[in-house]
Amino acid sequence: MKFSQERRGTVLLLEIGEARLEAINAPELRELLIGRIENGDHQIVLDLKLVNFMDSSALGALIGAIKKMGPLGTLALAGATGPVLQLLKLTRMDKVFPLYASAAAALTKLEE
Amino acid sequence: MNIRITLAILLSIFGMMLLIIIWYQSSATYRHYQLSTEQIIIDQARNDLLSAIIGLQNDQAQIALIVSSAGSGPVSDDFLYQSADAMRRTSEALSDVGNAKLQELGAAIGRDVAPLSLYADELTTVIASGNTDAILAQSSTALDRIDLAKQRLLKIRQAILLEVGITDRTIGGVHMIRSYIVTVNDALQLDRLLTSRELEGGTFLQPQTIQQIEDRSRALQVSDRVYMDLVTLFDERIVFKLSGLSSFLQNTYLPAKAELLRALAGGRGVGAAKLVWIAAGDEAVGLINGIQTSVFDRSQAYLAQQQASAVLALKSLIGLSVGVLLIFALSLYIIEKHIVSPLEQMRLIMMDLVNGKLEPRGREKFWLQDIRTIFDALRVFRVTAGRRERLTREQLLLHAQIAEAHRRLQSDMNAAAKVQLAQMPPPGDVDQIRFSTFFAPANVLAGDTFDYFALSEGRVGLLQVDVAGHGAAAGLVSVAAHLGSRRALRSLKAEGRLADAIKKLNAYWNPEMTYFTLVAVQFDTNDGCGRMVQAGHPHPVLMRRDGSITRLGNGGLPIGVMPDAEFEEIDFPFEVGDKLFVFSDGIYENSNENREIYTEERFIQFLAENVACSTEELLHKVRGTLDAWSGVANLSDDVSLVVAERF
Repeated sequence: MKFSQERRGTVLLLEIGEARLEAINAPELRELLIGRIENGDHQIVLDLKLVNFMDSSALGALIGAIKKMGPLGTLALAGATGPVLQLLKLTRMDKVFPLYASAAAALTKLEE
Repeated sequence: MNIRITLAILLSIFGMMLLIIIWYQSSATYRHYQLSTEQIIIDQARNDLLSAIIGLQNDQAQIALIVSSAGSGPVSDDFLYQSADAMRRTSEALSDVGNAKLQELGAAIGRDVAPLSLYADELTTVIASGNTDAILAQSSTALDRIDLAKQRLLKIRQAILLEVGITDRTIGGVHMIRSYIVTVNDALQLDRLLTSRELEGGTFLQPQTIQQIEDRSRALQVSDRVYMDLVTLFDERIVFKLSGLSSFLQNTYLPAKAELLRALAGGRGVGAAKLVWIAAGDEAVGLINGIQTSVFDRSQAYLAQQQASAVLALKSLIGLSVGVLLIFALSLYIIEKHIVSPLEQMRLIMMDLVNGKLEPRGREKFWLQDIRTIFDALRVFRVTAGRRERLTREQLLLHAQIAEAHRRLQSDMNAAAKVQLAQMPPPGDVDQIRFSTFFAPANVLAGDTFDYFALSEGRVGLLQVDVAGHGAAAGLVSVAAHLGSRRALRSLKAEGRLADAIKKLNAYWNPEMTYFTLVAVQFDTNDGCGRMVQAGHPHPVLMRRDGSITRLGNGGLPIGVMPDAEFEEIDFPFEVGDKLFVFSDGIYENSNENREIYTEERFIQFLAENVACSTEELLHKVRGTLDAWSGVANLSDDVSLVVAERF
């Protein structure tokens, strides 16, 4: 799975480089996020602006990651559009993840 | 044709050639040996023939002497017998020789032996009688017969020379000396014969003067010189004897004869002179015999030496041949034992390798380095092949085990799938609601499931579950989610809130298990309405009898994400002719070959376009649409659709 990462102070910005997040790469996404969380990253912004499709398996990976993160950490989703945003809305993920229109917005909010 | 046969043929040819060469050499050498042996016999025969000729010459002179001095001279009683004896020996020796011509000549000599013996008997008898007239008459006949016999023997001698030839210088020398002896003796004996006759008759038929004798002596001297030079090449000792004879004839015999002539002319001292002359003649004969013996000894020694060298050559050749044959046999043995036999073994080992026979063979010692190397390589091939075969066997075994495990898993999965399918009711009516379904699992076990059942007081429950992912784990969670949801709906009282039942289901859902999305519906056929809870599941679509289409719900958290989540309960009308479409996301998340999603919008559009269709027709079209978009066989997610229709 393609991705890039960038550290902004205590915040880790992960930008997914895949157009689709689905059953085939959901385990990698889960490993990536769980790995970062186990490494001690408790503020993660996941930039989904390049992703144009996400299925329930990928959503499962996100939910697994937020469960691993616990109540003190933050896993924010940024840049979701189209079907991805639709899925997040359908499943009311705004109650689980902070959602931001863009990574910049997410960073601004988290750095406050 | 194989190596063994080829080598056998080649070596047989080689061996045959070798045998032929050895045979030719041996037979040539053996022939040489035979010839050398024959040469000895022939030489003896020639010597005997020479003795016979000289004997006959001597006998002629002897007979003449006897007649001239009847009774007064020394009488030898074995003359002619010695010659006959020598002729018999010659004849016998030649009859043993392999040459037909020589045998014939031998037989011719043999035929003269008996008549000659007969003359000898007659002559001896007559001489013994002392009758002078009879002796005279008999001797005259005898001399003629002897002369004839002598001439025949000389001719035979010539014939033998022509037949045998001069084999080498030594034999040539021997022949020349023998010819010389014959000539000298002939001259001597003729001289004695003639002289005897002259003495007998008292008159000289051939008037001889001292001068003539001296001339003859000189002539002898000249001819001697020519012979001597030639004979020197042969043997110096014999030359010494020959010159001895020559000087004896010149210095003793001829002067004695001259003295006899002078005595006869003077009429005095004839008897004494005659005795001196006879004694000189006899001495000359003795010298000639001595030379003949020397020449014979010399030639026999020479021929024996020739024979010995032929025997040595024969022995050497036999030894050499045996050696060559032994080496040839040893070569055959080495080729067979150390090359051909190992090659044959190699062939068998290779055939075994080809046929997969890989049992180890005993380690054999090979003499040749190359063969050893090849056998070592073959051993390595065998070990490698054995290892490879073992690996293949293990792989096949493993593969069989995997196949068996897979078969068992598959059978378990099929059994589980049957159980799962058994959970889902067949299409049909429940109270006044007709349920039609479309279900296409992506795998044997599905993450999707649904159920509908009658509840009390005209209520009908419907649920649809979608567990994230698919396969065995999703299938098992799906079964659990199905049971949990069904229990939640069944336990719901008529006055109870559906949202509370779902909240409870969510709260008790084991957080270790995968989350799932759910739509739970409760139809009330009495009131013509329905209520539903949407937990992360796609929005159900309500198609009213008038053809209007409504997407129900505002979304909601899936079950198992947040234990304390709240759920919204949505009421909707559901009267006769209304239809509710409940479906999993698989129906609109399928991708086409351009990896393009079908999307919810397209699906709702599809429904809107087919409002007029019967449910059955619609389901048929759904399948067609799915097929057209991505192919039902290529589904990446389970697809389930339940249509509830109030009638």
